[in-house]
Amino acid sequence: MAMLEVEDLNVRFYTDDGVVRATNDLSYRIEAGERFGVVGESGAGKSVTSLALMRLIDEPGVIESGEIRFKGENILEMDDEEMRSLRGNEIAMIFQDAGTALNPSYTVGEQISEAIRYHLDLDEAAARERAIETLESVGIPSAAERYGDYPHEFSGGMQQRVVIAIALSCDPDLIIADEPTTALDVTIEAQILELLEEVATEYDTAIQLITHDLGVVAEFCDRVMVMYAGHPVEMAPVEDVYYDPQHPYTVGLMSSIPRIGDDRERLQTIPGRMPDLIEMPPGCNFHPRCPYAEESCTRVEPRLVDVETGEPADPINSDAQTAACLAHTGELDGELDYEVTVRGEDGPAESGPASGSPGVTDR
Amino acid sequence: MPPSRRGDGVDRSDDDPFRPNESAERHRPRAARTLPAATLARWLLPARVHRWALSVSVDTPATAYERGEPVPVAIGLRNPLPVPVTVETRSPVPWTWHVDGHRDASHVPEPLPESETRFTLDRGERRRFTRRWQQSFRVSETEWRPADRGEHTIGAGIAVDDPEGKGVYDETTVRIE
Repeated sequence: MAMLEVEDLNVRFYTDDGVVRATNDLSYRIEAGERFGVVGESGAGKSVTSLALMRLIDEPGVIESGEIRFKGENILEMDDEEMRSLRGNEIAMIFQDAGTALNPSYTVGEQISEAIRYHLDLDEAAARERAIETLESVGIPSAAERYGDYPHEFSGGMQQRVVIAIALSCDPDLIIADEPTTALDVTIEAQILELLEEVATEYDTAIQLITHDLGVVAEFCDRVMVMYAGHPVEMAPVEDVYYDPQHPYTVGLMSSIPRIGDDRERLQTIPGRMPDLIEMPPGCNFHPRCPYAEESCTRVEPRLVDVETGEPADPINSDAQTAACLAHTGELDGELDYEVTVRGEDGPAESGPASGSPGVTDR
Repeated sequence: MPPSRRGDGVDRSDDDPFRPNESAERHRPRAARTLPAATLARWLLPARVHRWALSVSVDTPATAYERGEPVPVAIGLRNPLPVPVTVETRSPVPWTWHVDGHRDASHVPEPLPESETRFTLDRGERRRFTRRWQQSFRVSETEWRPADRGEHTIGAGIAVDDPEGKGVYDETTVRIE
């Protein structure tokens, strides 16, 4: 049994404009100590997925169906009291905008020790002690003196560290990091990721890292799920996704990464934009943007399948590389015509269209 | 030096440049704006007046389309009255659309949650929603079938029981050639 199992999760937002299908039959698992990456464009459902795990979906959002099992227990059946003891204690979340996540009217120290007092039942002095230790562990200099500072007295990078300190304060088993470095510059980003890596290694904490930076995923994660329009289009160990991507959307995402020393005049992009989640295109949701789309793609929605066998995927019990594309079920007349170039022995993988082919962006 | 009022409506004083701006707007009574007009209208006007006031329109730019050409649909909701109107709907989604009686052009039932919700249009408010019918019907969880040539009815109505009978429904027909 995996530590976290998400099965057929459907989150809907009932709005005046219609039903927003934020996640559709989403299934995945995270093992203890695993680093699991979730990537995709804005609006792919990444953040909604993480909020659903913490049961923080607010009106007009509803978790319509599915199960979220944490250590075998369905989170969706827990009462509010059980949820409160789980949040911050066993599952912690690092929010993407630290400035907003922190309460401006409490000191940073109080915000950390509040969680410690509540979950670990320590007295005020012991909680303060532990909060200072946590602040030190995330690299805040003179932690004892800064304990009484307010969030506005910290820089953006330090605020993010405080949010991480809150998340780490009760030694959680799972940390959901929702774009923890998006608001930070690259040098701070590297430090924060290093810090998360240390924590994951030292405490054997599982991390679900949500990002749209594929470089970060390559460095940090063991397995990765690529999301598009509320459902996974590819899920696999990170090496497989980078060296042998099996979904045109993943290929498009990788082609659009800028690289130093690249001789391309322009970056390749994926034409068009993510569909409106109220009104998804029929068939494969990606077909309006896909250079390999055929008539069948507009009629049949591909299910996530094992790319080797074409059999329906079992993301909860299997580690196999899976993708949701008709090319893997034999329903496509053509082939996914692209090639992957790997630069240098340990260099990054580069995906691009085969020469002479229409390519991923030339459609 | 007396404050000078300039063309931009902001008064400034050279003696006290940091004095907060004063404009004519500041002295207007504002309390009237905070009247809960929607609540008052709900209390004072019977429900059938609210429904009667609310009108639904469904339009397409053309009446005939080539096969496979997406059909843009505009759904308009309008309240011509000078007071807000509120309609109790049976689901949190206030309106639905259909093609040939199939909601969202789908044969696969996806029931909306049943919960009484109030949908309000402000005085004189118009709201416009759009959909694109891709000339296909969803026939199973994973399959779509192209629509046949001929006439198809596209309709939209407020999510109440019998929207047509209550006058909060409209439809139009398009021909696929």
